[in-house]
Amino acid sequence: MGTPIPLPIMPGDLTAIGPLLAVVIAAAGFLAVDMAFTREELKNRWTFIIGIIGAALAAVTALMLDIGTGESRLILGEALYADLYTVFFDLLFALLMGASLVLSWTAVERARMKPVEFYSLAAFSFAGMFLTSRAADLLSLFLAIELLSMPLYVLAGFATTSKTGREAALKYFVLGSVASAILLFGIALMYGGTGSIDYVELGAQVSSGGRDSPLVLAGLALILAGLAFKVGAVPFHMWTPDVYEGSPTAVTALMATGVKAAGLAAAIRFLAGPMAAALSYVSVMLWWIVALSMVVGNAGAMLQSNVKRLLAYSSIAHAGYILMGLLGDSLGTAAAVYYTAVYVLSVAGAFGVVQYFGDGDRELETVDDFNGAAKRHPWISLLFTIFLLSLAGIPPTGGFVAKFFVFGSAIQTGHIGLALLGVLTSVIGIYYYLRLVIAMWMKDEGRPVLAELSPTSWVVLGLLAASVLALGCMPGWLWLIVQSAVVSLV
Amino acid sequence: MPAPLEYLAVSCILFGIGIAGVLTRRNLLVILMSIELMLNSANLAFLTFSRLHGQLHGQVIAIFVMTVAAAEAAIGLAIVVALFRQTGSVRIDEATRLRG
Repeated sequence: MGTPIPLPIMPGDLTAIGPLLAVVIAAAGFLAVDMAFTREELKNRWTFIIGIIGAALAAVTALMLDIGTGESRLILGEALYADLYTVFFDLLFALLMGASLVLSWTAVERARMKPVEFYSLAAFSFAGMFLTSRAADLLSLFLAIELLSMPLYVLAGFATTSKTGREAALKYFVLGSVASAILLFGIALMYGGTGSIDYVELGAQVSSGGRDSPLVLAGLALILAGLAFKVGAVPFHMWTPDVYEGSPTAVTALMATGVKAAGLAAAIRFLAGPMAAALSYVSVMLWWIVALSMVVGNAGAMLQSNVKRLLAYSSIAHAGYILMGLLGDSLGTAAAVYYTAVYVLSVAGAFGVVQYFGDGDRELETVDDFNGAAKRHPWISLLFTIFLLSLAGIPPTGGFVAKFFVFGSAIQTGHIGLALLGVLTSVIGIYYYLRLVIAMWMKDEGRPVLAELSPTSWVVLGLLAASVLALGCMPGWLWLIVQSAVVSLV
Repeated sequence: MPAPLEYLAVSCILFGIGIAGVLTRRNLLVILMSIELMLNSANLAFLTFSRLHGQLHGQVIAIFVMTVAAAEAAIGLAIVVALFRQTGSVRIDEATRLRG
């Protein structure tokens, strides 16, 4: 205290947060576009251009990071990490941002939202997502999660035409803020128990065992509860179905892909990184979260007739499968990261397709609304089927390989009961995903209407489907990348 | 100086009151206040621990949290106003359209 501290910015730090800067600049660009132009077409055109440039720039700057020997580097006064793990998630989020710009445009306009306003809020949320995978201390973690959540509270209630949007926004806001407060209180207790908020320092304190006070244990449990809320795992899942159903579909797509992946990126970094020693304290709690998520998510999805609600419950189940990887060794962590990537690609594709079905203001809501889709629109139904099969975990899609990796690592580390429960609940999963597939291909009384797809949307949907299939047929290359990313975590 | 344990106890009690408020009260404005109470109880804990460890970390975090709480209150009030325009009420019982 007393001595002046120099600004902790080293050369190269700004390159390392390049993706973050690209997205924030794009978000500011959207706001500038909104002020600069008065004609809607001009606003829309520039929104699209700036958004695509921002996403591309984020991907390029992510790839420019000098990984060196593969070890984690601490940047900006040891507040953030820069390593292969952050590059991996940067690329995933940049891809999501591009996909959202192309695929959600129709749904945004259908809900009478202005694209420029929608995408500026979404870009700020993406900035928070880019931060979650980098957080190197508990304060960065808290700020990243708040930054990604707050624009989404607004977006959930953004559609003025929707009867349910405001209720969804309210529920998301109240429950989300309570979860943030719980996370924050957990951080406070953790800080009290150890006198530090740094992951590396905390990890050293926890593994030395000298300080395993009740404060640390309570803090860990509260932080895990806060993170479980963000990824929508049982018993902190209550908001998911209501908020997913009530929000505009373009926003639901963001929640199901970006928010979930960001929450998982933060949880994996927190539990499998330098803090790995702490995992043994909360492994029982994590075991129950995993088991209940798989059961409640799949059983809940089975009872739904609304497609968005069905995908909401299934996302709870997937959170369970992914967190199961954390109970294993480093291979299990790698499986969790692999599963996250496959899940995000499949859900981005599935919601991409759902957003195009519908007529005028109306969207397709129930499973029965999809009756006969394949007869009228065979190609898009084929793409939808690929995404659904991947979510169900049927070969030759990426979903099967991801489940295989996760269950395999669980069995190797002795969690045989959990792996068995996982296999059993995936069978339930196949039932409700196939219900949608059967509605599309085997029933023909319905007449679902499809909005017009631009050539770009076809390309993006095709690429998503191709990558889902590629991850199923040739999992080796991504598996190797993911493994070295996980090695850089510790 | 009184023992920091007393401050910690106050902070825990405030957090409990906050949670109880969110769970039991039906008025949205009271729920918003309860959320603020939870965030500020964490602030009090940070300040206590900061003093206990003889560091500045906790105090810096508390300033960050105050900023976040202000942003959160702004969004929360905006959502309550939007809901009030739709239903004409600030009671949470009006928001029961989504279920199942």
